[in-house]
Amino acid sequence: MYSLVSTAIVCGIRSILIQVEADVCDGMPAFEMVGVLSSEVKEAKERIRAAIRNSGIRLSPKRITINLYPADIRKSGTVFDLPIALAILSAYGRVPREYLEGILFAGEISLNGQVRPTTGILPMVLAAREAGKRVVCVPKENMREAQIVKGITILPGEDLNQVIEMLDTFFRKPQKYISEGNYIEETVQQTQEGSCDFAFIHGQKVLKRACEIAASGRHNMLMLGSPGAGKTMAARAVSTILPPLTDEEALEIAKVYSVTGMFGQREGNFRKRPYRSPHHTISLAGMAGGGTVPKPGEISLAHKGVLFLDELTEFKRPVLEVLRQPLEEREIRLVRGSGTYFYPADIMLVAAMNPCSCGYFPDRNRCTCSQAMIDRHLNKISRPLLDRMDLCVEVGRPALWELTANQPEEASSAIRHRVERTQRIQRERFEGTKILYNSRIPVPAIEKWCVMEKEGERLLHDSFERMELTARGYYRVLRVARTIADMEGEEKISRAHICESLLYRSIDRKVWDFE
Amino acid sequence: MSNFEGDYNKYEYWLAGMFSLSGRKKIYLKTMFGDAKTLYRAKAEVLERIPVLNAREKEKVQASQSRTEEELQKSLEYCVQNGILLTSWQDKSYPERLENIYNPPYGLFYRGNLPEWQKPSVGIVGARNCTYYGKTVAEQIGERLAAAGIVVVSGMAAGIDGAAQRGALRSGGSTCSVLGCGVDICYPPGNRKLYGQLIEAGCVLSEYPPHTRPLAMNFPQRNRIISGLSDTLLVVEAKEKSGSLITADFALEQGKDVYAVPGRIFDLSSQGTNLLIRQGAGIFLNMEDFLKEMHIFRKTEEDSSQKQKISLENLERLVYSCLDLTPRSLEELLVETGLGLGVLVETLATLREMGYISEVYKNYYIRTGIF
Repeated sequence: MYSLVSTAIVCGIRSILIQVEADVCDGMPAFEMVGVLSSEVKEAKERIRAAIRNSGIRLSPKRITINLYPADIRKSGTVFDLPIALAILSAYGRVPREYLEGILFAGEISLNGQVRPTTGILPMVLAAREAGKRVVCVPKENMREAQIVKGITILPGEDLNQVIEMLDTFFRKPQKYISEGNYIEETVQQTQEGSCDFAFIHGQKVLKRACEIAASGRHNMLMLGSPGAGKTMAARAVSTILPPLTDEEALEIAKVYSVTGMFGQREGNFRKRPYRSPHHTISLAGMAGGGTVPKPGEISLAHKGVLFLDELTEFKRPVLEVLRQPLEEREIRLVRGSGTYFYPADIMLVAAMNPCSCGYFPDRNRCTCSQAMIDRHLNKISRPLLDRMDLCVEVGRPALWELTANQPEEASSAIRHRVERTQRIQRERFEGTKILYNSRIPVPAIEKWCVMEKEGERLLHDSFERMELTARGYYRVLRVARTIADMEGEEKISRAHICESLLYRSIDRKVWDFE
Repeated sequence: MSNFEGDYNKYEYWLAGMFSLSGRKKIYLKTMFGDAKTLYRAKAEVLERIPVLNAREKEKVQASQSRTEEELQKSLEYCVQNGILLTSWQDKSYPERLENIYNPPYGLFYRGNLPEWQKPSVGIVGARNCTYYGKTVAEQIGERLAAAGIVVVSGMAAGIDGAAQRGALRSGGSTCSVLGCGVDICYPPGNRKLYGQLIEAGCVLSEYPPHTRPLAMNFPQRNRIISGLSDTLLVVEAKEKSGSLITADFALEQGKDVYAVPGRIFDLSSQGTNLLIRQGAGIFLNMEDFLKEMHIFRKTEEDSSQKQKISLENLERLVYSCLDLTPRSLEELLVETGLGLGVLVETLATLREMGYISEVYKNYYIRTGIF
């Protein structure tokens, strides 16, 4: 007897539908599986045999052949257990073939027949919907993930017997399982308990202002200062002033987390922008994404959110250099033998570093670093990466009276309202284009969007010469000035906006060098 | 270039570049033998009879004599190709000031143009890890002294030395660096640009022959030449234990005036200079005073204090008054002036445009004009 079951594999954050065929016939008892399988798929044979037996289903010894197609894709992952098991049962005639039609199955099975959770369910369900399937059967633990997709009926699988029973019920009374409603919409943005708020940061007006500008225009930001000045705290607080994600963005991020098996982290706060702060010992694969079938790295996990790199100088050079291309293209392309994988990487980079290895420069009473040591320290970061920092701000040690003064500081929620307003202005201006934020204005469009007043233009041109700005630096100053103008609700960029923007321009060698 | 012709010179280069023999003894030998060539060809028995040389030194001279004529020619050619010149004892260009110090160098290798030695000269030395205060002061003193026709002598080190010489070069005055390595080597490498400018518009000189590495032991010896070439030595910034104090000691030994730039008592990098003042060194107050002390009187009015010329709006004056030569951060200025960030930043930009202040470090500002 022959049977056919649909399933899917994950490829990057996309998913491709796979068909599982089973044939059971008389002959020498055997269990053959074909169709370019990786070792974990081949192992499914043993798991399925035991799972079926332990579920109390007795099958007579026959010749079983399983084929997974299309054959030109290498099948890896553990989602095939459930579909293969059902294909066999169907081929034996234990499950009516019509029960399986139009349903996508995915799930790992343990030896006692239990259906176990797996990764990448969300992209699979999306792929199923695209292919016109309206019903999916996924592990119960992954149900929440599947519920994100609109217009899909979900059959939560617990164990093999329950799945067979459920298929029977569903076939007879499908309305029992129809579940509508969008999971994302149900959740509201929750601020995490104990997360950092700008209300906890005393003084540091310049730093706070820079954070607000960065968040408003999604500019990259570099904080420079002595240890303990509050750089890390500020970075954490930045994520609290970012406006919530749109549905589309939330879905895109949920996909990335689904593929990595970290979906649980997004549960309950789908609209919160991700905040990732990898430790500086992170490997290249950890940052960019890695593996023969690459999993998304930190840069993709921070998609649409904040990637915070503390102690920037301590990161391995290649790990930082890998950021360069995604910072421009907003996605990362990983090429492997098995194909090219795209992961989204639209990040806002926030970085912090000490000005020298002891951290106290330019306070010569505390810093004993020689010029050569300071040069070496800065040289750990390449110029091209520094060039990609839109804002750079010095973070000084706050004075004691600022810490102890019981002055109420502005809370994150108030700042977030302003950020939202500024982003709305940007959205309205860029209506009809693909641009969302000022930091993403392409160079050819800069003249159109960043109109300066005469005075401002003169100042910028003077500064271009005096500060020896690069072309890229020049445009960055303009983009930041655009954001500052938007924050004030101004149409044109004035001299004051340029002044402030120049204040945050990226550090250059001259900052450290005495020449 | 006349002293490149003939045999005579390669022996001079040979003698000047000979290691392990003090300048004093080289001069003695030169006087004794009449010229370097005779010394080079002197037999062992002759050397034996020279009383001032001890056994080890005699050995060294003999070892040095074993270099062939071709080898000498080769090192001479290297110097010619790289524009390295030599001024040695009794040459016209040999600085007179050095003739009277203890252990003068026999010869000085140099690149660039030697300053006119009859001009007054000031040595400016100080810490390598200097503050912006020290750096600015050194730069401006260097600039103003050179503009007043004074030769600025220093050591091209990182920090104060380099800053003083950069200032001197900016005003187009004459300046020379005394190195602790061969003049064909740029040390510290970070000063490559300055090194190039000095060769173009000033001079780098060294007692050590080309190819000599910057060994730690060379530098105290080099300091005696810095002080020796100066009429007055000015220490800008120095910690309690500093090489600049060695230079000051040499200067006192050689009977030169020593001046120090005072600093705040809690600043580590001013403790050495303050100590010098405590011990009786001259105190640097301002340019006019210092020049007067050096018996240099100028009738120019261009240096009527810049402060008088500054006419500022209220806001700018408020911000300007909060600044001095110690870098102040933006955050500090915000608190001190009580202004809003936008207003403060714009005022700072205006002041910077007018050239009254500069940003020395990310979001740190100092005054520019001081004298």
